[in-house]
Amino acid sequence: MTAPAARTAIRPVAKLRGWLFEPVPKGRIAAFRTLIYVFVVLDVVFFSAWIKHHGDLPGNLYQPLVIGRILPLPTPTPLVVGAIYWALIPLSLAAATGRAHRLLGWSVFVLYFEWMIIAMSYGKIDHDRFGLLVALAVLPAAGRARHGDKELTEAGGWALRLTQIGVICTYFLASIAKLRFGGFAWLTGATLTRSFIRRGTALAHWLLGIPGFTTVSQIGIVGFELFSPLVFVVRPKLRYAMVAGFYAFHVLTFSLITISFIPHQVAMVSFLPLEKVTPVVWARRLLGRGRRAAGNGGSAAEQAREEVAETAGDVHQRAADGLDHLGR
Amino acid sequence: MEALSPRGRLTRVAVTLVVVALTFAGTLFGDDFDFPFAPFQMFAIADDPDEPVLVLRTDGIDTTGRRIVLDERNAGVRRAEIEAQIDRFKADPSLLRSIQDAYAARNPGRPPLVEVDIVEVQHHLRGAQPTGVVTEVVLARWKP
Repeated sequence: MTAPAARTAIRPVAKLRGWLFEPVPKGRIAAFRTLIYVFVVLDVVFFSAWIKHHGDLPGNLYQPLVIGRILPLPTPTPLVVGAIYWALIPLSLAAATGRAHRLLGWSVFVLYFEWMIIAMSYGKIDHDRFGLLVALAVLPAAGRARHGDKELTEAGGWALRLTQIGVICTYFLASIAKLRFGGFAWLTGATLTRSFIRRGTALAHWLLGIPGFTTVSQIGIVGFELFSPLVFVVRPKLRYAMVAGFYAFHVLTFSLITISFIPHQVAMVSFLPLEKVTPVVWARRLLGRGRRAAGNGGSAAEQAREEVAETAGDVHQRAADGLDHLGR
Repeated sequence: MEALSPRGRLTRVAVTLVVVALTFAGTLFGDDFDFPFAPFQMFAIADDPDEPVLVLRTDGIDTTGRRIVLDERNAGVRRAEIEAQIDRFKADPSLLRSIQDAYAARNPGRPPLVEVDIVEVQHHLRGAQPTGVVTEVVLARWKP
């Protein structure tokens, strides 16, 4: 191979490596960490509260997964389920602070993973939280990170990238699974019609009256899922628009068949510049404003500084409003 | 910037490749038991566009002859659970007595139920579009 040929062969690899390890501010990792671990608590207690009841089910309903047969995992009992539940809550809250990110991160990952195995070992497998599991698996390796820290980190960049890959795999492979299990007949089948009839909201039942609506939607769903990996190659502006589109899809799904995919949506935040959302700074600013009103005035320098802080805060607020639109 | 060591990079590249390979293999060749690398197959089955959509409903008839739809609130009945166990109810309708009792416990003062039916509601389709025709078939009846 000649030297230029070798160089052109290496270039895509170097580019791919640069993409996989694209550095991000440590503040983004800190924010993502807090969000993910707080969500784990909310999920265990609130969003997926049904999992806890698996401990009360008779042992003969337990159908261990492959991983449950490889690893010596116990058949869920109220004691096993209760122990994991009561360990996950304080450990996740502690991990949300960002302290001891490795020890706490790995502990939460192992416990939540076992929690998922318990959830999925009774005949029904959900695919709404693959991205969240990836996030939990990589966060312990994302390095130490403080809120607001602008220093860039490659380890953190990789953690977010792998989470994003998990999120996009969920879409892309869902379309592959439809083609594998349903075939092309899926596109013109009655899958959406059936779900609208069986668990649809009033809006879904109204839409059923439009001829062809479900068929067109099915073609649209497979199309968007197949092309979702494009999010990795488009310009940032279009990338954010695509992510906004993903969120809009889940809002629509929820309004039609009340399936929220909330764990997936939380993992998808890995696409967003989270470090711009700084609730602590906003809270401090609000407190400062209160104090200023109480103190009635101050030096010109102090006033100028507060004005600057306020402008910065508005930018944060606008970023947060944007996030609200994207999220829920 | 905090850069990764060559070893740190290599490990992460390896992890990335393994995770992506397992995830793809799971959807292409695996089944549900391979979770977390199971196929992403929620809503992946193609339902026949001309077969009726079936929905089970549980009805109670009280002493005044009124027909009441039983649900999680008034009788602790969950459709998914009824659907999962329908064959048992068909084989032995007396199992529905527990629903009758649950209704009585949750609705003191209301007329008691004298009959519990599990009804299959069939929504007929043509070309994945509801035709508007809905038929009902009683699959199990408990009438002591």
